[in-house]
Amino acid sequence: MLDFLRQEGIEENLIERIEQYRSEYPVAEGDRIRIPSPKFRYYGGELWKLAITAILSGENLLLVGPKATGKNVFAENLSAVFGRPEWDVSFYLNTDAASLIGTDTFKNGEVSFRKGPVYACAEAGGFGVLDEINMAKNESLAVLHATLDFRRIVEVPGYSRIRLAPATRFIATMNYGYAGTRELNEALASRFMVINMPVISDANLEKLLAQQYPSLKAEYASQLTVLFGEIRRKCESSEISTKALDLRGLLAAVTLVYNGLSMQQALNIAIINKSFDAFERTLVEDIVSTRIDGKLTKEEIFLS
Amino acid sequence: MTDQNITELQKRRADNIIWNCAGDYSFAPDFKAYDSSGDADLYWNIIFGLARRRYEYEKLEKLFAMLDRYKNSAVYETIFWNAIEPVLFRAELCERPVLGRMRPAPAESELKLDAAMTTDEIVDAARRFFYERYGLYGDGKMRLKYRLPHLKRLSVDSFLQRGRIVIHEKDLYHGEEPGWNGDYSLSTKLTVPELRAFLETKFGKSIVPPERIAQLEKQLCSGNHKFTHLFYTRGETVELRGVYSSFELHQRKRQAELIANNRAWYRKNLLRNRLQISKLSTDIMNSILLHMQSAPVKAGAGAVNPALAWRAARLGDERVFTRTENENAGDMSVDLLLDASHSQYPRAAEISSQAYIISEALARCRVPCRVTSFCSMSGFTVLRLFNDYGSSGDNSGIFDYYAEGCNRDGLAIRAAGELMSRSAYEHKMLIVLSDVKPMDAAKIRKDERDVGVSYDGIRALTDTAHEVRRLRAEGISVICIFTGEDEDLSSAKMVYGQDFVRIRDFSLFADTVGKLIIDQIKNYST
Repeated sequence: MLDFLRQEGIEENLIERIEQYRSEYPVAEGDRIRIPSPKFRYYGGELWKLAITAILSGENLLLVGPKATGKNVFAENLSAVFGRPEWDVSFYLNTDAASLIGTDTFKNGEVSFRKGPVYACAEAGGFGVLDEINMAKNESLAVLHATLDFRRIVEVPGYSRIRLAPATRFIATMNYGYAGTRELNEALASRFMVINMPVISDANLEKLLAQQYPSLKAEYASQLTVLFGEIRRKCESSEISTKALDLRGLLAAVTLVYNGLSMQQALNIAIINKSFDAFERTLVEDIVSTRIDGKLTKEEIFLS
Repeated sequence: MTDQNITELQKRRADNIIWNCAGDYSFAPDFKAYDSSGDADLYWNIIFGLARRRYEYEKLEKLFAMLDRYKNSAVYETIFWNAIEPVLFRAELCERPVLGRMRPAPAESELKLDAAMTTDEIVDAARRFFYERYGLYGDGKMRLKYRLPHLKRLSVDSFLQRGRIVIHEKDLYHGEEPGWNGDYSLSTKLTVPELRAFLETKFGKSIVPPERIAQLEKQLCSGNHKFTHLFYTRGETVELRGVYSSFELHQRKRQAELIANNRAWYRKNLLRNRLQISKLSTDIMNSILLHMQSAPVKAGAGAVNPALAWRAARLGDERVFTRTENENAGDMSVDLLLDASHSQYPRAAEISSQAYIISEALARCRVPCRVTSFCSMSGFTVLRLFNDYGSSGDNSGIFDYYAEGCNRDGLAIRAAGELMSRSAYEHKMLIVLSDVKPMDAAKIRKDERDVGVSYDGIRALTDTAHEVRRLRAEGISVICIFTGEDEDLSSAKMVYGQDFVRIRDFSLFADTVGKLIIDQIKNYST
């Protein structure tokens, strides 16, 4: 992973400090399984520098960006780079203090405390990924204020308060302006360093395709990249929803072709059918069929 | 095949292919191609889009405007497109290899263009060609020898690829706004059933059987509205017959023009309107989610509920905790009531677009929405239902909105309230789009012999204000989107209190209306 950072142009002194961080905070044997080994790499040198510096300075991160900008990939990559166990918390409307910190439960005839992910993460000095943080109501997140700021504590009402292990960081992600999301209040936002995630550039998408599928012919990598850009432009013009703007789907489509489907079949199930609305689906089909020949097969798009 | 045979969906599909290939979504496409069954044609729409991307289109537009001055403009435009198609095809092929498989057999064209030409050179070449070959001067005039009938033999079909139809909206490049040529007033001595028959031919089939109408009129047409009548329709056309035919035909033609204008206005500002829809729906969705009501449920984990704790020890029931579950406050309905009186005539396009935007936004939030318009004529208050709660996704019927006659706001609001009272939704909202200028020729009469006083001015305003408050007392939130002039602002304030907005800038429509609706939703949660 560190070699990858060097390729991305990260300065050597930052990499040294990451190594120092890793050796300073060893991971308990039982938590090792939580250290991610990412399938996808996040390309974007500048952002890496921002994020690494912020984490080394003890700050928490908020990654903001629309769909398919790789927020979760980046978060996972960061945990891997720093070698920290990761706790994922998906926020939803009813997320409350109990689901974050922990809750009372009944065991063997007596009330006992069941640790929530934030509590566990704080104990182990892990990286907590707070996914879609703005889906939850701001009031229910107030419990995190003391955790995220200089106090670095988790307060469990009725039990105790614990200090965050020094290696603990939180990486929140949010998709602004998405249906069901809300404005993040200032109190919470001020506890994060905010990184705006850019839409994946065409060059980086081609890099990603090349890394994932080394035998994919360059011309098809670039056709798929342009296709993805066209779908995105249609989303930005609100002609279609973002359902079909699915980077995971695009990558999966290539795998499907590799495993024997035709291009048409693969794109159908990986991208087109993600629009459940029949008309929207027609629009997506039109973008695909005016760009990609559906009859293409493995033999044609992969180097033999 | 004409424009009418092509569905809205296929038109939008064609638009989308063109936008996609142009890499730009900020224009309303002019040329669109369909196959013989009315489906959008992939290849030609790609070509139309590519022309936008590769050339300075405003210069080409000038060329089309020039060609449109001639009767056979479709022929000339086809010649031009057939000439430019191979150029675009070759230029794009390497970027879009799939084109090679899609291309139909290319047509021959005497106009020769090549890839090295700039837009100016293309336009020059085309102008020269049309002058030399067809004698077009470019100003609608034609050299004498070309007026001979040989041009008639050049039908559009001989140029178009077989089975493909290229359409651009009629009069796009030199069209006139469809105009309003004067009001008319209807004086009549017809009986009530005769009037009903007349209204059927005018507004559409009545949807309420006579006996039910009698009940409704007894219930609603009382007080200030005594001796007036109600008429409900969905606008389904009735075949014309009898003495009204020629008059009605004229009316229908005028109506069709206005309706076409409504749609054209929406399309003209398509991008802005669509943005408004998505913005408004996001706003409403957020506020619905935010103000959902929560209900405690029994659970196996959570906060201990002391009242249940004994069950754990005695009954071994470990579900002695409480968890809060948010229940959907989506139990809400919205009614849009559009003032369709003649004073709204000049704003008809704007009002239909506003109504469409709101109903689309609500549909996206899955909030049931009903759109009704009202106007009054010959003592009848006509309520026209455009779409009902839970009707299928297409709201475009709203563009059939047509403004004429008077408006008896008080009765219309009362009738709308009655319609709403039939549904079981917990929270009901009535949004009135009106210029708050109630006025009806049918007077306020106390009894048969009373000559009555006119329903207008302060009397009508007081009556409307009274009805609004009555609905509010029943728990319906009534808000108004004021569409009138500044001088009537005080009337709006009087009738609707604080709950109205004025749209000064259409690009702020979603913000303004969103805020008003959200304020009401907030009230539901408290």
